[in-house]
Amino acid sequence: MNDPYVVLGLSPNATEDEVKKAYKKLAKQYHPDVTGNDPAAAKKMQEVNAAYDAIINKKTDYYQQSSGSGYGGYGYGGYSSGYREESDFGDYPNEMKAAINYINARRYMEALNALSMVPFDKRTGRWYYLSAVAKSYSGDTEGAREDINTAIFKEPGNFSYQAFRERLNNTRSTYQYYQRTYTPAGNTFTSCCLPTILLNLFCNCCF
Amino acid sequence: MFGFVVLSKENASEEERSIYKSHYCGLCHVLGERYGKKGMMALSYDMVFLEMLLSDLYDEEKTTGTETCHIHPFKGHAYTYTKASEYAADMQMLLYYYSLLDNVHDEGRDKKKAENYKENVKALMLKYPRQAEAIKKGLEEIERKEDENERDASLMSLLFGRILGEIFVISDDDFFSSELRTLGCGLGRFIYLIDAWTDKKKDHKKGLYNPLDAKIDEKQIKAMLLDAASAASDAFERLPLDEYISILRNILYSGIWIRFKAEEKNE
Repeated sequence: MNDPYVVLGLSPNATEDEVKKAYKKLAKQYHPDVTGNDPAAAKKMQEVNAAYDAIINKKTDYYQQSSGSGYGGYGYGGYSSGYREESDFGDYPNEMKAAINYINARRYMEALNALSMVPFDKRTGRWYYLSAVAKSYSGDTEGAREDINTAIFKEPGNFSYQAFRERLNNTRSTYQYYQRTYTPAGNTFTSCCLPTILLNLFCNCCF
Repeated sequence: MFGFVVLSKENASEEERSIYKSHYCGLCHVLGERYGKKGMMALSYDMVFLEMLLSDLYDEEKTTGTETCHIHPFKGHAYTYTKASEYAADMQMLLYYYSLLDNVHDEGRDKKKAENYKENVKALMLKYPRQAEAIKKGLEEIERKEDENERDASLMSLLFGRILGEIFVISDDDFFSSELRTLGCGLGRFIYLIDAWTDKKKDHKKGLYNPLDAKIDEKQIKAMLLDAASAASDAFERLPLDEYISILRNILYSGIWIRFKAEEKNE
């Protein structure tokens, strides 16, 4: 696999915003609307996508590097979570196996659906961990926190569960970090809202 | 629908404000062009965020112009719209229609108004089956749970989050669909909660449903809101945005809290 920075034509110390810019430029260049359905361009686009994944992933998930071989080594599963479930499924119920495949394909809603079909008495620490991952990456961070706590309760020694909880908590501090660059809003109700109010008044008159 | 997702003016430059405003007017323009006056009536700031997000993400081509309208009948103003404005306008129509139905259900008003949108909504349901179904089923479930007086506010907000998550995804096959869905979900949770918070006193007084218990204090709701907002921003920061990133960040880290702070002041 090529160095993702090289794929994007950047130096390794490029900022995240530069990475985003470079990605956008290349995505435009290799877009099917521009290249027709040229397979070489499609392959190049895949490479660009994978490189973008790799860089953004590295910057947000320090604790775990996604691994994998050859093309797609920056696998989808490893993308947002820095997480790729092992392919050795052991004697998991079929629904768990399906959920793992969905998570690796970043289809989190489907993963949750598959997980929900595992009977309660078969819900191991791993089940709660997978559920936490799927919930977190589909936007239900509160449910994710509950599930990861249960997973840790069931398997206190598991480091990847703890690392995942850490990551969940970091999300909030990251938000607050960004938030601090803004003046606390709301001293006055933004006058941008005025047109909506007026519009509603206006429209209420005509209906 | 709710108008909570707005720019924080005091944190925006003159240029950012005027870009934002021209997109707002662009969305209004598209709503008017596609659906006439009743379309413009559905306009809200929430969808301007979605429009600018998608326009930036997919580098959509812009159409700009100057016009006068009902709100600005004398002074011409600039508008900007893109392909994403059309999508946002369609989603706005769907959401607006179902919010009217909700009014019919809750308070027995807006029945005639809703009737007016029926034909458009029918067409939109065929055009966007995934989104339309998520809105319809999701809002029906919310309504059912409201009738049962569900007390789990997190669960209720997640139901709304799931709806907005589907709306944020134009195409399921898109490389960034997962981030968009998460962003929409977090934002939806936030909107539902802040709406419940700002209506709490009024609802309790009138005996209307509100998912938040009277004893929930500002600190607790703030933690819930923060959790929802950070779920959204975590996904947002993974998207390759550049053109409008400072405006979108302003909304996500500052603008969405305006009504909360206003409420805080009134306490």
